[in-house]
Amino acid sequence: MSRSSILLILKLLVFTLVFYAFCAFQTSFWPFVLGSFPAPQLWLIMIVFVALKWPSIRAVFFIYFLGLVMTRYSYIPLKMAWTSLVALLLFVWFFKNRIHSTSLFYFSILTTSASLFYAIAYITISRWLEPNPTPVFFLHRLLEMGCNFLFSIPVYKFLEFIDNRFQANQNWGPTSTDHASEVES
Amino acid sequence: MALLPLISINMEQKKTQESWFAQPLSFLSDGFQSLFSGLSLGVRGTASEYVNLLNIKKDNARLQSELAEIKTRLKLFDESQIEIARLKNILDFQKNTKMELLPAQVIGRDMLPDHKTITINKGKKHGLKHLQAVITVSGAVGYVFRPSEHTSHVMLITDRYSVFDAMIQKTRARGIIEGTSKDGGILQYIDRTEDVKSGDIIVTGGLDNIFPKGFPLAVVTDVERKTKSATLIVNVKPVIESNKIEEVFVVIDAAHEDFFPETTTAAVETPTKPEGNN
Repeated sequence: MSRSSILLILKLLVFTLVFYAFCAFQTSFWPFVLGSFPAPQLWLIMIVFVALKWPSIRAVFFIYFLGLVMTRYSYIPLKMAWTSLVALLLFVWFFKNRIHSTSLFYFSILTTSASLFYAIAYITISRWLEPNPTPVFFLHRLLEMGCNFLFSIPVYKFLEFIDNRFQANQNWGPTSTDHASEVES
Repeated sequence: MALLPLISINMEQKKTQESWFAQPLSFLSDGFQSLFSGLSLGVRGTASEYVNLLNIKKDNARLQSELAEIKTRLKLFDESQIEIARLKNILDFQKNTKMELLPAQVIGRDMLPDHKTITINKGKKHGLKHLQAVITVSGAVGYVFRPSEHTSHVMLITDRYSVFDAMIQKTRARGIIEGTSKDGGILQYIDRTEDVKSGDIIVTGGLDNIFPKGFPLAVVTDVERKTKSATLIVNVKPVIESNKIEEVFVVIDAAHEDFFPETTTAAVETPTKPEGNN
């Protein structure tokens, strides 16, 4: 097995564990510390990150897998999880293909708008797929978006750090020296 | 030359009497001594007060620290007292019922606001199965829907996917409670001729084979009477506030226990808030 394959497997494993940790933070830590105040959707921030940074095919399958993990932390039916996540993925791709920016602020704005889109998509899909659709929970979702905006910055930094750690092409030193000598010659 | 020493020798012989010319000198010296003595006392007093102030400052800091510690301990003590009362209540309930109950602790809540579920720290390993009732001292909570090895998910009565057989305690009219995923639910299929009022107690009906019959479930908050409908729409609020639950009981075996109306009324009217974390 090549080094890049091992790194990819490790990256998928670490991202899965981080997703589990994010979900556990939201379900078992936040409510017992801050009560019923809406928790930041760290899992959603991570999905936006994956959709934005990872190659398309890999992102799709990984997000489907994360949807499956989500159902372990909620009573959300799999059909609702997957359809709403695919809608979210398409939303992120729509902006990814049109706005090219690597700034942190861009990621925060994208995360917040993705939260808004996810809420609207979830409510719409719920009315379409479920016999007893979900309520709007306007204030709750609004506060969630605010929290997502605030938490997107540290979460992005954290995920970017992990993502970079498992990049296959990291031999910058020798490669660039060789390249420089080639250019000189 | 010799006159002054002779005079002084003569004066030494009458020690008890002060000479007339020495009196003003003594007066002055006394005055100066008193003045400086007073000054000295003042300086010593001020210095002493300053030193005392320094000590007082230290003492004050120490006492404040002690007070803060005592206050913290007192708060912990109060919290412990509340917890002891709560646990005693739970223990008494467990002792006084025929049902086989398994105490469990809430370790998680649903990730999405669209669903109302909790996770408890008991699973298949502890004998939990699908559709076992979950209750507290004050009333019904929900049922086990996804038991895993060490933990289980519990669907609360407020979830929009949950449906329970219920009846109005006062009139014994039967209906079905459906959750709304908000803080309440709707009691359906109650005949419009039934006398239902706000504040009426809804108890478990027992036909769903989940809960024992007659256990407090909810309180009526609002009754809608539509002119063209044969049934009432009764809005209800659960007796248990789902976001405050800390400990629950899983009913392993209900032992055919039915709760009498008197018992349930008492349980609802004098809530002991065992699930509260206030």
